[in-house]
Amino acid sequence: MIHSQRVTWFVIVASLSGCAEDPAAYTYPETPTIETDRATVTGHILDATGAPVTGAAVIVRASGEHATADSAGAFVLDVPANTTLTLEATAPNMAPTLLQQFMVSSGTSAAVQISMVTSEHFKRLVAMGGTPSGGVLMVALKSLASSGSVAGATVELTPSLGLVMYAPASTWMADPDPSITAVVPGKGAYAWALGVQPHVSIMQLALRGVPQIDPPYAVDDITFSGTFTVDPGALTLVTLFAR
Amino acid sequence: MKLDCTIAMMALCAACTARPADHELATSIAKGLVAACPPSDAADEIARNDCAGRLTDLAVLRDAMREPFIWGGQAPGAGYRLDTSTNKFNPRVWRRMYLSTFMFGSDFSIEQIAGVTVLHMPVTFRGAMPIGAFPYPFWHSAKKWESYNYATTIHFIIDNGTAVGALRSSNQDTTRPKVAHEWDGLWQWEQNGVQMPYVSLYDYLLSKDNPYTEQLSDAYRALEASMRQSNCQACHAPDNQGNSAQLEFFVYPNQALVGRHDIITQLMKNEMPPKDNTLNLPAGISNPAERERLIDAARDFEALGDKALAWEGDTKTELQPDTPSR
Repeated sequence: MIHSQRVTWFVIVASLSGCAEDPAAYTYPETPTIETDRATVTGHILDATGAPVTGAAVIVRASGEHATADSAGAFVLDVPANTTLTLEATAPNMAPTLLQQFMVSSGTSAAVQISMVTSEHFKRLVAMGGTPSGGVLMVALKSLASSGSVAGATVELTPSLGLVMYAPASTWMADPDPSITAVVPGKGAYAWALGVQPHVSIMQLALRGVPQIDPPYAVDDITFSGTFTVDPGALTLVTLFAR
Repeated sequence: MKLDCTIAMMALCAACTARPADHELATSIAKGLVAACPPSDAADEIARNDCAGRLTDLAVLRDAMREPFIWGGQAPGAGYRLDTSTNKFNPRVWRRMYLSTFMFGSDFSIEQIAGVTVLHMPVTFRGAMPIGAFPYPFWHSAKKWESYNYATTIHFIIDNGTAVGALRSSNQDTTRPKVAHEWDGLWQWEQNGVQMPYVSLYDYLLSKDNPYTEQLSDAYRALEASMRQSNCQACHAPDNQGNSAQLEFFVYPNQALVGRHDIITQLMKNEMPPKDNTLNLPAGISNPAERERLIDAARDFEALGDKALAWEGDTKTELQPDTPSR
């Protein structure tokens, strides 16, 4: 076979092999590669008085890892890293409590605190919201600056499917007082959102009147998305950060 | 006597309106489904993706499907009604994301029922895949999760050359395996840096080299953020809190495509949220500037959705739903 014939055959064979390729293959969808890195969450489960809730169960919703709080209310969980986590804490006579939508960096350990209220206290909060099926949010407000203050700030709920109320910050987890119209000064500032429509796809809270840090909030090795949904019958904990 | 005559006339008319072409179309669709998605392991995502690719390109089904395509669970005793408890979908989205969650058996049958052709396709659900492989967390409702897992059949409703919708059978085989999932309350989440459910993203819907994927994704995100300000997602989500008879989802990129034209019409008329909605939201959008922003965002989304689908050769003229009630 002379050289030019060989080249011709090569071209024909190459062309045919191109034709034999599955023409639709490039339109086929693929599953993204998902790593399986792990991280650790440590934390404490406390009641409204700051006492440990010994024996409280804490579970990672969706993936199922679980632990039990010890006599100091402490727990340790091995969790999927860089994955949206919701922790659910349950204990006898306490309302189920959700710490929602945060992620922990691979190979690191994040510390959290879960505050629970009694079932009776929770019922009072639901009644104040005016919607029996509505969820209850407790919004902790933190300033990242050592001299910062969130006093005078207001909290806006979007979509506006719930009532935002404020409470005397001097008493941690005290019931909201409708006569208070903004966050009051204090170390443990917080607000409540009551009667919040459950399971709305993406809800957000924003701080008004103080320079808010836009979500997502990355604090050390933990990232809060700044979004949440609420469950009926559960207390949901959210944290907002100001400069 | 009069009633007997009426029934006889109806039966005669039904026989008269039987359409051999629709029977032929149903047969071709059935054979295509069997070839595209044969039985495999219910956890096998690669088999699902292959099925999704083949269904996307299944010309006989693609060309017959109406936009919007109607999909839902068959209510017991309600026949093949598509006008209640159903969702609207872009046909490509439905074939690639939803229909591909099923595997098909070859023992199909075809019936002529009151003027339409119904293709009964035996199915098995791919219920053991990772949670991000499902269009959304079907297990948010035990009833919904069972409806997918246990459905024995998908009924395709074909009317005069057009596949107008499909229903998961009310007939269920509860001996089939069902994976237990607990819903964590989230419609969307992130898993090791990947947005979930990954099948709801344009990366999954469109070809790898579609030049409009990123722009369309940006346009969707902008629209979604604007809609959130106006409380739209409170109703346009899978749990249907607004009790719509036929729902359009806006909480996921792919599923939102079906509403890309209709949303502009609704915003122009300012009829969303509707009067007397179940969440007691104020009717319409009272802030004109906010409505203008939404309309602009919706127009961008519509234009890019049209371009992205046109690039795929997968466009349809949207028809006004003329849903049979049977």
